[in-house]
Amino acid sequence: MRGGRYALRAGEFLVSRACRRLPAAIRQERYQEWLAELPVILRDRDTGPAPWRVVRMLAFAADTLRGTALAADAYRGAHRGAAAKSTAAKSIRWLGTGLLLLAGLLGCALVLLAYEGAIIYQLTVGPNLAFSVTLVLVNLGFIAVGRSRRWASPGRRWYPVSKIVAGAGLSIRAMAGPAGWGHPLLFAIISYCVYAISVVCLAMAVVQAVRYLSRLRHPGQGPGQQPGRATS
Amino acid sequence: MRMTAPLERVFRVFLDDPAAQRYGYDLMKAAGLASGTLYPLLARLQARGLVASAWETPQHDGERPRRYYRLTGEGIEVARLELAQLSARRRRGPGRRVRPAPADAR
Repeated sequence: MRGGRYALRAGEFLVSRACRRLPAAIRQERYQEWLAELPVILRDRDTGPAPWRVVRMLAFAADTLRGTALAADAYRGAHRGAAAKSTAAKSIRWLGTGLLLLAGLLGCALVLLAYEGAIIYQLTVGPNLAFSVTLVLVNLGFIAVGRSRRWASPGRRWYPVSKIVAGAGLSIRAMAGPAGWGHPLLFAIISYCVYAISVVCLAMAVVQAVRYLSRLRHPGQGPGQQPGRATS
Repeated sequence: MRMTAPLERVFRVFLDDPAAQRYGYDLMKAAGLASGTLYPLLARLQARGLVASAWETPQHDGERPRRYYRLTGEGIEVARLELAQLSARRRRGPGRRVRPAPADAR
């Protein structure tokens, strides 16, 4: 089959993505197992004509992705506690997704209202407020979405939390300045703190981008290495 | 283990020939399940000791070894029991459940 090889590669890619969600101890084993099924599906003449077999093979590979995303606990030796825990994690992730959507809608609405002049403050305050409120919601969303994975360790949680603090500070400043709340010095201090946090966040973002790029150049050294290249 | 429709189908496929060793793809075809449903299910069954798996030796050069599954002795017993209970529940039907009458009803 002419396109079979490319389809097989696409299938292998999907399976490797699926296996990245699995615990390291079983990742390689599952990768080998699923990879071995792909050519069998392509050769299975009972399934139908060649294009249909390609579709079937890709569907198999894509569905492993769904399986590892939704039932990762099953591969870790499922028991009731783990299942309940994973349900809670899923709910929090959905909450995070909701927050992200809300942040997007709110951000768009506030920016539109500000530029239409419908917002009560001056033209510059609306976008500031929109930006800062969106910043808070987006980072809350990110924490909730990735709670069970990337931000699980407290050491990694400081980054979005500091952005939330920065966003909250900016929100207060954006609202308080024109409304004449509190002492100006207080808001000046808040502003400086927010700027300091923003600079640190920006520096950390640069460091993370550099680390990510170096990991791309030297695959197999980070935790997200491809299962096919893993050594046991 | 809660008896779900996919689990019932997998048990039925295995019990067609309990001694047979089945590959994941064969099970998928026979049970009509997608890979994302079947493999987590097999992993759960394996964690409970109801299913055992082993790697086959490839017969041709360049072929990848495939993994096959079979029910364990305990798995066969549990599968038969669960399917029998399910059939009994279905025969009784949802509306014909016998409930004890309250004491003051007599």
